[in-house]
Amino acid sequence: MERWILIGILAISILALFFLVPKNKAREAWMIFLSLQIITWPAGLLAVEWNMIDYPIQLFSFANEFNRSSFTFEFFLFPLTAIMFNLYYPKKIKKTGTFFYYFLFAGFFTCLEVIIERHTELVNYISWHGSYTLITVMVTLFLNHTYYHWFKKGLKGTETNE
Amino acid sequence: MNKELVILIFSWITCLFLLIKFIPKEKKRYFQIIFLFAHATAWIFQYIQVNIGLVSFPYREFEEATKMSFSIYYVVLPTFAVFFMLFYPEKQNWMRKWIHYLIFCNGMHLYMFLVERHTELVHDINWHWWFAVTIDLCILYLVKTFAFWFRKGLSESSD
Repeated sequence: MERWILIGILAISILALFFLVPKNKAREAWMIFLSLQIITWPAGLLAVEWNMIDYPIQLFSFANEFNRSSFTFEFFLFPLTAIMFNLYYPKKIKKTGTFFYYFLFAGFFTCLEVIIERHTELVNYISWHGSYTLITVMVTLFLNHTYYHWFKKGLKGTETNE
Repeated sequence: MNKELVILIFSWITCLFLLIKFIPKEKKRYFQIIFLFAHATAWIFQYIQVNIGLVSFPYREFEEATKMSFSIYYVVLPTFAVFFMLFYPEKQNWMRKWIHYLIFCNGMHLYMFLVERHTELVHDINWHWWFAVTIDLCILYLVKTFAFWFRKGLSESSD
């Protein structure tokens, strides 16, 4: 059951990548995907190291023997969320709207995680809390977006739009 | 302070210093994306290596969370990849390119070899020089292919 959820998440993610990322944005998507891992890798490890969160069931049954941070969430679902977040980031919007946009994405991600934590063995909060996810995801998205915004200035075809 | 920690701190400082000092300012996006790609690739390769029991890492930064090494794959190997691309002899013939690959593969492995010999950071189980070098070669080739593709979309390094 749990593994099917993971496979479902992976399948939807791959389909979303395929249909929602235009060909000419491939480099931007790569850049977001790769730069997000720089944050999620140490952060995910720290959360496990400090016994805040646990992932009893992983995609591969042997995974927990040598790495206990979540492969699917931190290295696939979250980067994918960030890709969508940045590629569809509203350009002409006021500050409150921006906050709402962050809240929407982080909220969606948090709701998903809380539902999964309640009903399955995929995630297990020890001293972690849903609100921590909300805040850390928002901060991470902000850092990632700032980097993306800067990086984009060096990409062809985007510098004229600014 | 034990010597493992000293080596890790020394590696971090050296890598950051070299990266800041030698990366040309006008091409920083290009080399940053190389660093990021190399990091992701090195990490996947490490995942596989640990999984099939080729290497182990007795002294780790994240003792509980993982059996994998952190700093070496987070900063040291990506730095090697950045310098590999920085000095890549693009306009020279294939012989010169091969020599370039071999220098960097062996350089990467020499670092790992010395660390393995003298510290508890890395422990080889089923690991041979030629095998390590072949894997490093594959990683560097992937990095090069990705970097050359990515470069086409960058306005800063279209030379």
